[in-house]
Amino acid sequence: MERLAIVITQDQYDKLLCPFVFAYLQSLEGTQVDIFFVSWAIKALTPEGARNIRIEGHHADQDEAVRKRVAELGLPSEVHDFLKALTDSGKVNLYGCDMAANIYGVTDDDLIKEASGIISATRFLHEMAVKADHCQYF
Amino acid sequence: MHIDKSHDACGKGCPMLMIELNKAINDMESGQILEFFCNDQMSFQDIPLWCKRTGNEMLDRSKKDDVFRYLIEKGAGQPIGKRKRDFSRY
Repeated sequence: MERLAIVITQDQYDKLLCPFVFAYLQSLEGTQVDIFFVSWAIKALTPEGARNIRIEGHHADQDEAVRKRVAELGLPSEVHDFLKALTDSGKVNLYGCDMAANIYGVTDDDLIKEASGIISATRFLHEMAVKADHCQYF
Repeated sequence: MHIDKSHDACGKGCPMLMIELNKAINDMESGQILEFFCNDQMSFQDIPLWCKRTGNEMLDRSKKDDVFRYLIEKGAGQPIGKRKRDFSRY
């Protein structure tokens, strides 16, 4: 696989783990990975948003235990640290969705330095998703 | 057979097993041989698939006392069966 495109819509800790691990594994194999954070997920690309991401709903009480287990597995247990690990591979780009940025009040200045910026859905679809060997939605 | 590098990933499962395998082979040269130990049952399916996808060649796999031993020759970086895509229609 040369290129993988991932769309993330969720901003819940447990729902970010799977796309992050998929991106991590593929980046280590040399695959170019473009991740598009839409809807509430764009908050993961801001320092405060990343800090505040938790497990929600009826599994909310498991947040601390899950983070502990993730760390024991050898993975970064904090969202921002995981995003750093992804971009450190040199193969992963993180993009915020322009529409989500407008709706949820996020600007380029709010983004963590690992993010590549805020782009439109059109650009993601035409420059990344359609050219990828595979596109995943979470 | 000359083994260029050995890595023990016993006790590791998904995804760290495959992360360690990738990291172990990434700094090796084409043609060099990696000896990789692990005890994750899933590796018996995952590592052959990974070899095929990444263009590395699995020379041998064996199991002794619940520990798997894989001998993998690093490929030239050209995955087997890699498809070429035509983007002209886009």
